[in-house]
Amino acid sequence: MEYSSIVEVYEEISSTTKRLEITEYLRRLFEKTPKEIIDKVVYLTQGKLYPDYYGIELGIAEKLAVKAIALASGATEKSVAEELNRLGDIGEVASLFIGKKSQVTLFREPLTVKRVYETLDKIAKATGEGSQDLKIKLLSSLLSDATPAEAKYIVRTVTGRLRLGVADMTILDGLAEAFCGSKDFRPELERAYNLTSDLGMVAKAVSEKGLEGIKNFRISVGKPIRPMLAERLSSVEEILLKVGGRCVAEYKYDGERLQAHKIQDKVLLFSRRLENITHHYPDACELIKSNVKASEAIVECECVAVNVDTGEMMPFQELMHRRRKYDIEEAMKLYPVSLFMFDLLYVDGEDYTVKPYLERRKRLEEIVEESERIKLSKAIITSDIKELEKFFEEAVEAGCEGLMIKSVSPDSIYKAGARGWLWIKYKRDYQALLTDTVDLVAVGAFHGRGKRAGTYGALLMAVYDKKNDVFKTVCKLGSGFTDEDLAKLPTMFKELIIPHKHPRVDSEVEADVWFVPKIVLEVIGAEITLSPIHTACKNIVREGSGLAIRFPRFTGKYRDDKAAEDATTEEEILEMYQRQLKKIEA
Amino acid sequence: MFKIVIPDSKTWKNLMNAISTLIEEASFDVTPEGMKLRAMDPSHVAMVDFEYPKTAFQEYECPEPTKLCVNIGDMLKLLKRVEAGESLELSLDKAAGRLSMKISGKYTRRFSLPLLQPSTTEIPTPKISFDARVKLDADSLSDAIADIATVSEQVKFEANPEKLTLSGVGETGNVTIDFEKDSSSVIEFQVQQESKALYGISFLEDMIKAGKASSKISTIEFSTDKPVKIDFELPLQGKLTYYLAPRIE
Repeated sequence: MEYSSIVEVYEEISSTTKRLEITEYLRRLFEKTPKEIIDKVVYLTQGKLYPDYYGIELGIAEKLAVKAIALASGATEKSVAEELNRLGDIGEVASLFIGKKSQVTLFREPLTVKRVYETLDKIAKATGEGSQDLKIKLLSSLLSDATPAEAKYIVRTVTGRLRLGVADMTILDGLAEAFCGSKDFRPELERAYNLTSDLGMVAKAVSEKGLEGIKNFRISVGKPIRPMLAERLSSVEEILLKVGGRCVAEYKYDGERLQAHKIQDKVLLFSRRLENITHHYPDACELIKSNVKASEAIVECECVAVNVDTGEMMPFQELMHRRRKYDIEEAMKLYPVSLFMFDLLYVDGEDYTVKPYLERRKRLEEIVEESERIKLSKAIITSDIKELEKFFEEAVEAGCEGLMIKSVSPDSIYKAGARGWLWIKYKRDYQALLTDTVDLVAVGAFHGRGKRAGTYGALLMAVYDKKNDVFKTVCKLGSGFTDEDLAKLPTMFKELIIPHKHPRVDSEVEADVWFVPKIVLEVIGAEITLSPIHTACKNIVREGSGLAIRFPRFTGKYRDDKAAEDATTEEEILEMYQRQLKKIEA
Repeated sequence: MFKIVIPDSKTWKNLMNAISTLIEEASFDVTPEGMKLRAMDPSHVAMVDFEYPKTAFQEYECPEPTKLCVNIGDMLKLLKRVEAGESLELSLDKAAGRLSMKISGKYTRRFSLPLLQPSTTEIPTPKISFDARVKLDADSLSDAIADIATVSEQVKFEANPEKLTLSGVGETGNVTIDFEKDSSSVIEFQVQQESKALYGISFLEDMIKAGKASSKISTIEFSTDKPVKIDFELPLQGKLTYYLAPRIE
């Protein structure tokens, strides 16, 4: 099959936005594609060479493509780079220069799909010394034999920018029409796709044997399953109604969703987009290996960065430090992770995706041995709105995004690859960013563990309520302390320790150690949130809730110049909250 | 038993250099009559044709046709420290899939490198008739190209019955070099028809630099807007030929 016949279809697809037309073009393409290469044609149409989970990606730098275009066309690199600046699309640039190329070749061989695919594959896999040169040469070898239109799509593909706008589901529609006679069979194909996450494999099976070819597709450990997705609503009442009045609510951790495959001693991790990200989290692999008690299992968990010293969860951005190629060891030390397990899809030969939620959760609890670093997601079963809202505030204050509300009905199966109302996200609509620092009074402390043994792990911090002359808690502060700070904390507070809560302190949190309110620290935080446990502004914004500072951090400044009564007041916190409260852009 | 001895390993090194300007992996056809290699650069713009008859070697034993495919860059790394006058013996370790190189001079050195899977695609000889043919001193040709490279990325070849002109036009200046048919660098001069063609300079530079290390005499053949063929005479009927596709204005 010649590459030009695919390119013709690409051109047709690019000229329309109508899904029906695209499906029709794809059907024709699939029908004329030889069965042996239909998987490759499908991958190429997605702008890929393999399913995502293989971890082999195209995406060479534009500057390499510029060199290859110059080499193949005989133009100078400078003029190619200038056109790129002008046009912005490296594909158009390739087409332009190949169209007016001055360099002739000795022999011209028309491009076949096989040759294009194999050459792109070599480019994607070239590594090490001299690989850049090799990539340029390989690409220019394709471009020298390409027509301008072929050059456009080759360069877009190789730079990872094909972007035909063909959705996976449209490809499935095209396949269903071509090999099963009608689009009506798409659900069968979709099921096969959800279980294997490999469109090429599905294409090959249906092109060879029609529906019969995919009937026996099963979950297989090592091949990622397309994740189940959640709808989103912003009212608890509505959510409860949707899931039938009773639900399970789980913390929605602010981390990276992982699908972990355990195969004996081997663990593979896939991202939500099904990229293989095993090498980002060697520590998570170890946790799964040692604490998931099954020889083969597929589990889903949320991987969250934690503060080494306090065990507190850190925001998602911190976790992104782990997304790197080098110095994983070092990143592992600086940004250790905890795992919160929330679903079970398969264990030792048994497909759990077809079982209802409670059964999955029960089995998950059985096979996961909890430890400091690996836990089941925090969850409650409830049909009470008040309880849900309280749980929600608790989750947000603990550093979560909100809650995942899930149906517990008998039909609450794991719907791979589908977004539906069995799972509903409940996130905050509003947030009050904290832009200024605040000065807070230390009223108590918690004993440190691990590296912080012998000193304090966190301090209980409060604002001042002038009217009643009491100190009301607003956060636990464990971040931002240097080793020197930590070392001198016990001495600093030694004189202030009292055996019980100070009468001027209003706290619902039980501290390990209580202080006379005296020492003031400057603190920054991410935002002010509603809190079910802290007493600042209690019952003012909402009945039963106070306000808390989320992700608080010590700035390093001890406000020796301030007395406890000069600390930030309750009214000031309330004012900051009300002034900053803004709708979250979805 | 496969064994080939080259009296001066420097010669071999220069030839390998000449081939490495275009390709990474070299696939030699070794037959009882001699050794051949034909290869094209990946962009199909340039081609090298190399032949060395068995009589050019000091010893030559090759009972059956054999393909020898090696990474030429790796071979050159090993040959880098070879000195003039040292002889080179090539032999095969078929079981281990390696090519052995024994270099004998004041003492003996042995290297080996892995044999690669040879490619199976045959490259045909370009079918071109040439209107201009000029045999000239390789050093002069090399100098002329180097002069033009200072201003331009391409060289214009123009021939008429009186002279061969090489020229380059650039942003910083223009360079023109004339080889009159009776000038001292010109050895033979045949121009049947006025001819004019343009070639990329980077390939030309590499080819001519590598070629002149093996030969003092070069022959240029070309026609209007057709590939140029550059031939370097090697001793004992050896042949080193390059083809380079033109650029069209």
